[in-house]
Amino acid sequence: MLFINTTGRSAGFRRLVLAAKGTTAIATLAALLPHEVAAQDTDGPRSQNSPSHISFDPAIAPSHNLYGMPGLIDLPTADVAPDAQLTTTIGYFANTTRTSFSFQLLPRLTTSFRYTALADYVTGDDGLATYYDRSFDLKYQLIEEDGWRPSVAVGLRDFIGTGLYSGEYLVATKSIGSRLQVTAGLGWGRLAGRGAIGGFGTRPNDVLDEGGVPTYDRWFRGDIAPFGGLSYRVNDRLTVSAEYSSDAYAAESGADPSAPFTGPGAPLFDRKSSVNFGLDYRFKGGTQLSVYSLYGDTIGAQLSFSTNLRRSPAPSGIEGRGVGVYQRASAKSLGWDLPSTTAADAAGEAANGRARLRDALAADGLTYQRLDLAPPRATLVLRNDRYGAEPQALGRAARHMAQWLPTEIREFRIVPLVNGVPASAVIVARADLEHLQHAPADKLLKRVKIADAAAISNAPDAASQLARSNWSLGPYTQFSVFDPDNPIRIDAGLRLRASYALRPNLEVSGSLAHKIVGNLDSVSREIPSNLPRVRTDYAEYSRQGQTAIEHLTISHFGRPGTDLYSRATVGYLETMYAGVSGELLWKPVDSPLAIGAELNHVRQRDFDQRFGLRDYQTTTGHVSAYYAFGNGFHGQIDAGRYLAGDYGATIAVDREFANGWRIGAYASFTDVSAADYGEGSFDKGLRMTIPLSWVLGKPSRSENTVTLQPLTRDGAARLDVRDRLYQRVRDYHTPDLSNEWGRVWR
Amino acid sequence: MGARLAMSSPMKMNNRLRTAALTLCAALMVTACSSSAGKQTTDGASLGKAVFDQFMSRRNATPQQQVDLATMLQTSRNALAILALENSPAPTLLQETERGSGAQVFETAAGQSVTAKRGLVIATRGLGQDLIATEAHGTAKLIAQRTAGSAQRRMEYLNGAGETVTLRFDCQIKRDRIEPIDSGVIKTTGRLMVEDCNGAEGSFRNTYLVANDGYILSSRQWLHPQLGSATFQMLKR
Repeated sequence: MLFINTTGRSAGFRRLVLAAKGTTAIATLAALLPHEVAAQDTDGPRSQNSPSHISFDPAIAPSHNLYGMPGLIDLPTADVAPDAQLTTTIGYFANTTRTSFSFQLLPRLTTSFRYTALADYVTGDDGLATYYDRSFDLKYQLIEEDGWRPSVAVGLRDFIGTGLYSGEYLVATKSIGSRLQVTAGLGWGRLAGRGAIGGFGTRPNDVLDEGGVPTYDRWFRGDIAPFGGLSYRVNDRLTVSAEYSSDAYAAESGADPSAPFTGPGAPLFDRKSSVNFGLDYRFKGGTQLSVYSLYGDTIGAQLSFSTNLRRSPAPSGIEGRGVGVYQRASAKSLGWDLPSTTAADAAGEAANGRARLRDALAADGLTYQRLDLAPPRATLVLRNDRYGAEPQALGRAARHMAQWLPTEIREFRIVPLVNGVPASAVIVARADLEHLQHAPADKLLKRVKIADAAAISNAPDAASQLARSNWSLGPYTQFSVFDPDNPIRIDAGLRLRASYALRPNLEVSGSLAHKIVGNLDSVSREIPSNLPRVRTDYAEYSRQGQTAIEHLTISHFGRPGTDLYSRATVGYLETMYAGVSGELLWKPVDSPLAIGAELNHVRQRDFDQRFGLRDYQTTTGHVSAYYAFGNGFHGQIDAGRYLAGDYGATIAVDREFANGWRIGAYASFTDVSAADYGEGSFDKGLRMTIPLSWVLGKPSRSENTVTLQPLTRDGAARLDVRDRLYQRVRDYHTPDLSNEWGRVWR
Repeated sequence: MGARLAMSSPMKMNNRLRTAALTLCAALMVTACSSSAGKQTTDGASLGKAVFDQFMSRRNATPQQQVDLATMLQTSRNALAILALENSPAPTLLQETERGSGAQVFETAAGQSVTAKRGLVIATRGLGQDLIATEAHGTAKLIAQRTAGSAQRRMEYLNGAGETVTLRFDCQIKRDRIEPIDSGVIKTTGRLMVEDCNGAEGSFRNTYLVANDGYILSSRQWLHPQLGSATFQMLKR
């Protein structure tokens, strides 16, 4: 048996001794410390306040208040969370459940989406029912704390929509010593309910349009009231706080029966005092549990979970190294013969070499398609099935080429396929690989050329073992949220997916879903619509689509010319529509701008989602512009005609990270009046893409995109066709490759 | 019957994976249908399952490897080394698998690797928190020649956001005394060299025991802001 012990420090050494019990040591492991600093701790740079761009230390989020924003108990502070912090809070007090998702969109801009449920508050079918409210907050930190200066922030609370919690504030926070933090601010709207010291204009109460519109007519108008509080950090885990709240809770406390949003179920609690107390406990993983004493009458509690999208459990991945670029071998020893005596011999030898390269690539999750040799250049066409960071796939492919292709080949051209067509050509010299494999990655990026690949053949050669068909069977879940009758509905079942490649770029694909359990069909609410029902029949689709053909299509992808990509899809395009869809994309490899055009002619499908069609048919189409701003932000504008025949545009902005995370929002503006659109006035939503590789620490191309749409209406509805070109083609173009290039040697 | 050496992987998945998974599940509470744009998509259900599988496998697997070190030292043709991370319970055995361009690559049985140029660690792979690349030509030259001097270092990492982070340091190299070393089949003496590096993000100290031909036989080198330093020692050259 072996054991490790640490002997006492002799003059200058600390030895770790590997000793076998009863036998003499066979190895001595010396941890060396120079004698003059034997007593010192020689840890490396582990700064407490590491610059945010390093992002190695775990990000510590400030306490979040009952509104899901960095704050005290009910009140906000001028604190911000670390950049890209995503926090989920679930809080409860006095029949009120508040669930919020808070995202630090920029170092100074905090955004939050909140869903509140007031139980037994409004009149329902049998007595009192729950009142649900969605709200959205923004906070911007104007000044950061520094020396004597406090941090100052301005915020808009519940600034879109019906405005149950509508209020604005200006707040300042100052740390005194290392434990105490003092906050003071001025509030408007709901934050001026009690103790107003002045006023500025009148604050209207009417709902704009049909709701869902930013309430710009209210901001910073009406009474102004002060609020404040302080928090004291007892130790690393425990913080106590107290605040003086200017929120009157006029509606919920029943204090003023004429207050807007007063429900028959009020009062939910009795507002006896303006002072709140709170206790926050932070667990090891960063989760927080808070307990509050509120308004002298009631107790509340909240759980906060937090994660930072710019941090990761295993930032560089736990996958192994892959091959190095070390030996150069002659053609013969690798199984090639260049040039060869006879054509037949050459073919045979080359087949060996190709097969070896193909197998080596397959071990790394890369699928070989074809290899063209034209000494001194070789062109490898492949498909990346494993690496979400595309430079990692390219780097590994290049290293395999360096190992398996003879020295006569001095230039490698790697052509990744997307939907069977070449997306780009990445050209790297063998000499650069050899010289730069231990150098920082950006040195290689400077030497690599990325070019258009329209002219490169994608036909598989004899060595290719590309599987034409594949299929998968697995569980699926589908959620529907925000219906006041039932805030979360879930369907779950089995999904069978299959695809067959008639040619590399011609694919037949289908997906069949069988619902096993769920309540998505229990929507009983009548959804009024002045527009053709292009999307609002989702309950019927769920009710009748027990076994549904989600899609069944033939798709063709092409390269009509340099910088041009095309798609044509025919069949049952999505759950609600069948027809024809065509798309053309112009995207030069090194351009941050791309322009696309899509035209579809579709007919609505039967509710049972089998092969039948309904009567409604329409032509929809959009012209789209995509732009990568280069600082992590990405914008998209689509303008055209939507499914209900309305014309307009959708604007989307996303914040994108090199690790695959994406968070963004979109809004559509069409020629449909707010009255015709209905509740919500216009279409908007949030979306988030979660990369599996970030969660697991291993390479993966899987990702899950979640779209949160407050309301499903018929205005600004786009066809949900699969495999739209831009998002797939962009992966192998210069802007995205440069962002993720750090992984090329991984 | 030689002595047996129990090895375990120096890399531990930490609690942050758990927090990430929990928050993910919370965020996924409001998932809608996944779209098919972009890369291959999964649903909430299969994503959750993948996270759960990974979580369970991390808990169950602590790769233990019984290695007959004495036999390995006698029969192995490749160089052998040991790596002991600061915060890790046990050292790990590495075998040289590749050599070229002045560098040697040492790999563990689990596929993690250390790349070193004549004993100076310039990269690691598979630790989850890797040193991606190092530029320390000045340091390497001074250490090999066992002379004092100053040099600059550039060390490159990947952060959780997928971005490349470069840390730069100014280093002072000093000569120290002669020390014997008895490690594996290596029994000799070497010169102790000390490198003190300072940078905007902090400072660290590396110590090296250098053989007469300039090869670093044993050293304590700082690798990564999260991992800290590691002892890297040759058992067989």
